[in-house]
Amino acid sequence: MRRRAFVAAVGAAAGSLVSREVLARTDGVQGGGLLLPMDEHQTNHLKAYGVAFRALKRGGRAEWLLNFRGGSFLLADHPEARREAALDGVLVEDVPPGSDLTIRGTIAAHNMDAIPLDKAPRVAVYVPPNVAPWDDAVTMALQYAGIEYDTVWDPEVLAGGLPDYEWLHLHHEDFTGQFSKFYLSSSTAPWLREMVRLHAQTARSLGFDHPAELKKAVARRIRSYVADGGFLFAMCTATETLELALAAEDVDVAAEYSDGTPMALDATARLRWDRTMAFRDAVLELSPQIATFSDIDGHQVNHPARRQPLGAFRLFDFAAKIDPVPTMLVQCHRAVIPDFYGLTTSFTRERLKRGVIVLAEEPGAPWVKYIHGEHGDGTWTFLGGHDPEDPQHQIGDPPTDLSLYPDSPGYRLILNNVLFPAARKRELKT
Amino acid sequence: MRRSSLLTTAAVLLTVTVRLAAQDPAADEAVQRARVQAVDLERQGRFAEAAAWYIRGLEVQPANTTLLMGLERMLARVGRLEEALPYFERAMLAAPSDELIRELQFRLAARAGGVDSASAAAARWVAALPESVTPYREWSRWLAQRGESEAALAVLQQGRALFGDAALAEHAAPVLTQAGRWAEAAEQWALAVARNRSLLSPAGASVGRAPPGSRDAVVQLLLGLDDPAATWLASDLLLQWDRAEQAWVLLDGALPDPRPERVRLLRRFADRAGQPGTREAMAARGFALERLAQLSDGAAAERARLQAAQAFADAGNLTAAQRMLSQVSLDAAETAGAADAMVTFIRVLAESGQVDEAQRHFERWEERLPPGQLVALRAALAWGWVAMGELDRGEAVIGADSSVAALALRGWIAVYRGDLVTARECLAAAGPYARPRAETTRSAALLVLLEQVRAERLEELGRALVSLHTGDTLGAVEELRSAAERLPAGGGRADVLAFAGEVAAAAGYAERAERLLLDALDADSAGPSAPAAELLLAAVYAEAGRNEEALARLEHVILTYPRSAVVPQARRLLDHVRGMIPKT
Repeated sequence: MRRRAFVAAVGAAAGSLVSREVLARTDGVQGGGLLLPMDEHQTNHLKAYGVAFRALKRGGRAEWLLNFRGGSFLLADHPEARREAALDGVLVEDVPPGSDLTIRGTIAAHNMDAIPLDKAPRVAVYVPPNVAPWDDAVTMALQYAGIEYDTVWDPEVLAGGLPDYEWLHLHHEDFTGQFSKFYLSSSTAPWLREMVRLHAQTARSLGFDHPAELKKAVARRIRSYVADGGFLFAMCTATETLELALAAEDVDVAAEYSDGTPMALDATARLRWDRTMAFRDAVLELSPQIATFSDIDGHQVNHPARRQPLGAFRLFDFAAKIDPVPTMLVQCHRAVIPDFYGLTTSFTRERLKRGVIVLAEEPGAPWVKYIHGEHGDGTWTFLGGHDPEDPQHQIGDPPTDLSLYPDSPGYRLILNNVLFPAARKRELKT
Repeated sequence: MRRSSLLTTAAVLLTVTVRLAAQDPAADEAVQRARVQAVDLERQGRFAEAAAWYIRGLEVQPANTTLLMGLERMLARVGRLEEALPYFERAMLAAPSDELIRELQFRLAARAGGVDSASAAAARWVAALPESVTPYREWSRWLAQRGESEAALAVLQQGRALFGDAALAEHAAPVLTQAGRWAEAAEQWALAVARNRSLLSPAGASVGRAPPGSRDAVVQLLLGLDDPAATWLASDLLLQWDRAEQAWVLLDGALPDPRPERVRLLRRFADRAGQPGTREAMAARGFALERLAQLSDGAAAERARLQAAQAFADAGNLTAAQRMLSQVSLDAAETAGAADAMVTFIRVLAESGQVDEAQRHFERWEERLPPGQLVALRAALAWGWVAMGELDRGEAVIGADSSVAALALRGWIAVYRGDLVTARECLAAAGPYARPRAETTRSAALLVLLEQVRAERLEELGRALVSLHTGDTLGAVEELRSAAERLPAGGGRADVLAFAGEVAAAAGYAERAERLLLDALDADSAGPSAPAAELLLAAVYAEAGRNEEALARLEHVILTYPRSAVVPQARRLLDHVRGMIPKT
């Protein structure tokens, strides 16, 4: 299914038509089922997504009840779903036949909606082959929730492998090819030496002189994947650098240590923002010694003079029946979530393109946290920060153990994105 | 006449006038009156009027820095700071080589006009006083405070080119720290410490904040400098970063010759090593204090040896602690700290099995030991005797003590003798109040086990627990099995077998643990010990890489005993076995 069609379809089916549809749904879960409440009563929010995902994987029916008890899931009753929920410590509630009508009545009468989930999306995570799952918040969340995923990297992307997947997540990769700009400060660290070696070797094997050029080519493929209907989700520095790599197609924005030549002096002026998806008019950080890339990031964590303190961000409350897509992406049992740093922590408002949907912001601050938009037939979603449960994340910190944060609201946002492509296009009413 | 000549002439005339005014009592009195008036008006909040009085004073003595600072302060309060500029210009003409006026003028220019004005003022200062390093310091500091680290470093670089690397090192170092350039910052700090030893503390505090990923590079760089000050700094940093042993080795190899400085560094190291409280740090502290004792004499040496003995005892290094104590005349010692050191020493002796020795010291020192420590020391001695199987001597040490700790100890002694009735009574009476916390937990676990055992006496169980206490784990496991065989199926057999399995698993006897736990589950698959036994069995399987069996057991625990207290642990282990969470 082309995502643009999906977005248009669900968006157009608004108002009372939808309310009647909710009440008379025939494509969702019929005659009762299992409710996975996602409000404060839920005992393991993150694993609940895994239970729902695997139910879809088995071919079962499921619905996402947007804004109903924190964005609950209604699954067809199945012994395996009950067993998995019990093992994972996920709270389920019986919905006897007939009782679902009460739920549907509530949904029809409030800012809620019931979205049928069609099939479990095929998930790919863009990640170097030598990285453990614990290095990235999304792989940690997928692993913990028990959601299957494949890993892809530069060779697979350039070989045209992305269309095999409905959902692509970008690891916190630096698409400007500057090794997250840790090269000068951590040049003796073994992990960095290994990263440089691997990237250089991969670039050479794929016919590029250096990683910066390779990453630009990969960025273009990713943009094409979205344009052709893919769902893209990126966090941390992948958001900002992907866009910079797209804007810098013909410009050298990599420091000398990376590609042998210094960054073009007029690089900022020569960036082409008509080639990007989310941002515009950013000013590049010229110093190779400062591990920030541009003024897209509002928090500038590695720039001592510009570093901003962490606050909290608030999720927007969308009209579920009119804007089901952003509503899905912000389903959470908490509306306000403590912020967390990353190489890219947030997105400066002034740098957002027109039409970008802000999903979460820090009220009063000149930056936003969580954004979404369309590109061609697909969509992209960017979340700033590295790890929602490790706000100050430093290199070398121990990995986050999600069994200690089973109700993490920040990680829920990530998992919303995984199930979002499972939503089925709603039939248009005439 | 050319402009520069005019200015020079004006400056000379002004200087002459100022000097004349300075020698004129009437002028002094006028300035004093203006200053008093200004201060009074300032106190009343009449800032504009105060400024006018400061100006009156400056008309008489244009280079009076007190008046200049007052004027700047007042005009800033009324938002007319730039009006002060001409008076500072006059002051510089009047006293062209006065560094304080230059500094004030730079500050004013920076406040009033921003970067361009500040740069211009700094450039004039440099031109006027080319031999001074101060303008580079002040200029860079101002830029750094604005967050412009790179610009600040560029200014410092200019200064260093003229005055040498070390001249501005202590000013460059914080800016480099601010920029996150840790290794370079450390290098600059080392240069600064080499010139001024008192900077070691700020240097350590500054670079100590380096993130873990940068630390090795920092230490390597410092050691590569081959300079004692750099080594001291490296030692200081390693101590902060929990590498106390390495820190001590470095410091010990780089102690300076002058005795006072050597003593100062050792004392500083010892004090800092006492803060983390880790065994490694305490051992390092002990070595530093021992070295300090060698450099001292009389009471100072005695005190250092006692402190070293305490540190070594805390670190578990009894040999070194004894070495220190053997050099202290303990019988005559009324030295402060002797009693505290002896408490630690006796405790560590008792815990390490040298109970006779501990008892001797205790009896000799009992009256001089802090009263609050006596109960804990008696308990330590009693446990020491019990661990050696000397139950009577252990009981004799606690005597008629009615403390909670003594009550718990009597419970243990009773169970070691096989007297389960007395054991239950004493342990229940002691409740969860004995200290330390680990002891309380151990006692509570024993009471839980005894509550399941349907017998009044069971010598095999007592012997098993004595074996366990003395470190004979295999013997304890076999004796626990024997004890279990004497119990009925529903009267504690499964619980004792499960406990034996736990002991075997903790000691790494996986096969034996598996057998015991399976037997425990066979004995009573639905009893209170069953979920814990099955969870433990799953852990044994997981440890051995038998993941399928572990998963089956864990799923059984969770699905069969959903309300058991062990279910959260079972879920966590399940996550580990499935690879859903990192190993911690």
